[in-house]
Amino acid sequence: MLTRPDPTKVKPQAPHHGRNPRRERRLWHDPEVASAALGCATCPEKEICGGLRLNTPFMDCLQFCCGNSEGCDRVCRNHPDFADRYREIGGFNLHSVPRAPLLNAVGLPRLVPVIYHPTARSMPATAATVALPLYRMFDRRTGLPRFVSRVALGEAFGIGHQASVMLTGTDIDRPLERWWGLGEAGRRPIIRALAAAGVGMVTTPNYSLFIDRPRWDDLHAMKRIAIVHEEFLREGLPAALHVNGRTEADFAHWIAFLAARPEITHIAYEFTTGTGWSGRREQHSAWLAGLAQAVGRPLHIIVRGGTDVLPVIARAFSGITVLDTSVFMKTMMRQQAYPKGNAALGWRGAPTAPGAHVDHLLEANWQATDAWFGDLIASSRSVESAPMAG
Amino acid sequence: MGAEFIEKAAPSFKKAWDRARVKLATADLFTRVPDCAARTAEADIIGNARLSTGDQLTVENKNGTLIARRGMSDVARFTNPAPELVLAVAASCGIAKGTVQDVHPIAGVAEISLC
Repeated sequence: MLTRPDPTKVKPQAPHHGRNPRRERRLWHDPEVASAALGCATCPEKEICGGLRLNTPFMDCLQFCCGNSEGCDRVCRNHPDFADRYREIGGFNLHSVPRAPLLNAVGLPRLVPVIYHPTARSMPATAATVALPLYRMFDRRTGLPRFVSRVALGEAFGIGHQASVMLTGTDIDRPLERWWGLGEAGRRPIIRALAAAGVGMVTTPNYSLFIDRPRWDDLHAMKRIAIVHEEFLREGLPAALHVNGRTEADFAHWIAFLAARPEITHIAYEFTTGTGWSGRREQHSAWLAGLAQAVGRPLHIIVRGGTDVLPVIARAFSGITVLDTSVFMKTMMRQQAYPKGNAALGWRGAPTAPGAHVDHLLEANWQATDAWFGDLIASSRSVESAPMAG
Repeated sequence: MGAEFIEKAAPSFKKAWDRARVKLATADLFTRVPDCAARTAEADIIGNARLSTGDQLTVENKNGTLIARRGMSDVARFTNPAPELVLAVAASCGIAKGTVQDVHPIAGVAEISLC
């Protein structure tokens, strides 16, 4: 006989951000750890990697080798395909990426909502600038551009003809890998179509840097980001370089790369994965602030997540734009924003009749979030619609 | 997707290849049809490294000398490779895949093909 489970005996599910990141913490690179790993001394890539300092017994990053190359896609010196992975990106050194032209980008506001679809809306979104997912811009089977005009783009996502459009390249890994798998010959026509459809800015794919993969995998991911960034600029589409990194050496390489390339006027970052953990987001915001200072010219940063560290970042960069997914997602979940004290924005249920549109709820949520965010940034420094660097 | 998280915390995915970039960065000598013989060279086994026929290695240019590596360890040093082989490695981002074709333990020499 089937019985209903006793709700008092059901183990509550911990929210994602409530999980104790003990496993992760041991594998985070900690510059304060006194000694570098012994194995790093003999690594051929020590100079470019900088070595890892972990709070766990650690010899070298071959510890993260799975030991079975069949079906393994890690970039690892134990893998027979290591040479091909190295050739694929032209070596780990970022400076081998070709130079790109300096482009004039459109101005970006301080907060931009990410719009995913036109469902449950009868009117276009009212925000002056909206962000769309980069990976919805091409057909996943054929790799061909899905939108060749601004009108088609507006209809597909429910955005007004006057709104400026930018694209976000931050997503889960599968679509990011699809973009890389298209090859340059496949990516180029899509980028041209996007520019023709009126897209004003794109943030590059943020290929992942895992803490339990060999470091060569990180270096490969960083180089891929730099390569695709150059492709966007070369095809005439302004792009923000996603400066993914997890050690001070990674950021030192990005600093040198940025300093040598005035054509890079925008960078991107996200605090929604491991970079957003308490204790780690402070380290990453410090690295970003150091980058802004070391590059020595105005840079505009486009951020996803990381509300707690936004004041630090806003002070360091000449301009900041936050891509917000919560306005759209919460609206679709029939949630309404309200001010919750000085430091936070609260959400409460706002049910609608079946089949009702949510245009007004979206507009109200957008206004509330934009006002709250304006207050947040104003408390650290005055950030208005940021003029583009360059 | 992001940074500073363990692989299991992310939805599964397979790292894609940009094959055209690999092809572009690989010297003709390593891609044209002629057999392996033209791309095989002798290398001195370094120290107590143990090599077996079929072992997969990485061959890299280190200070003008071709070195075969397994993982992070140097296992063999090419003594007198053909100049075109050295040039082909240099033209292939300074790296090549090596396969041990034969091992002569008494002489401490291995024949390694490159591609």
